Amino acid sequence: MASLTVPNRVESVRPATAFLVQAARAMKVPAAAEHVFEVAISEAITNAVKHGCSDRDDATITCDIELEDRQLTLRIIDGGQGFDLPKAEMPEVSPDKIESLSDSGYGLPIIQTVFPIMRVVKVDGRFGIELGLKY
Amino acid sequence: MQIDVATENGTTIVRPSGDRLDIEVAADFRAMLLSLIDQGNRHLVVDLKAVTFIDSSGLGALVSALKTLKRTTGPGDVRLARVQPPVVSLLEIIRLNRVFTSYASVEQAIQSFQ
Repeated sequence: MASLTVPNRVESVRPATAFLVQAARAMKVPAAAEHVFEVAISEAITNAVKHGCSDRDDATITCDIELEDRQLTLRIIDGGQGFDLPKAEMPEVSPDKIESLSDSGYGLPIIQTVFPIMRVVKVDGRFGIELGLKY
Repeated sequence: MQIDVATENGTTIVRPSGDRLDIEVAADFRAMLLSLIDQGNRHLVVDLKAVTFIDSSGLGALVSALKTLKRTTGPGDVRLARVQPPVVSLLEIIRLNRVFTSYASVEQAIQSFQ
């Protein structure tokens, strides 16, 4: 398992994403070669920054990645409040309804296109999200 | 993030110079687009040649600009130029390729408004 802890702030999204993508590629996970894999991880870490305790100066995000029996598991623990995962439905996109087009809500569906397994977890008393894929 | 703005034949060309259009820069990008619209620019071409990574925040900025234009009176549109393959792929996954027209070159995008 590889692990990285970063301050919970927007500037941490890029380095934390790079860490997880490089670790998955080093583990030779096929999906990690695809661009959307990196986007999905970036979305998950972005959510941690948005919904974790980023108002506290000492708040952190811990990113864990492990591979076992061809199952990749990522844990992004932000220490925020526990939450129920909303249904990850892609917002409706229609050229006939641009006025009602959503300018948010695309993150979770992007994550689910890569990671069929997504659940809320609690690690050492801190809440976060666990993402998984089998290959 | 540096964002260059130019005008040609009544069309405003917005050119983000960084390779990542993500949560770190999306708010500035959105503010820039909305400010241009507020100033009366209604034909916008976003040149994405330099952008190889975009997330939902960056896409949300584009959607926000498009919605603002469509909400107000008069013709107007946000069109994309020189979209890189990773960005094309994400637009397709989210199906935003159904609302944003893309062109191979900035010149073609400008001509589409004539």
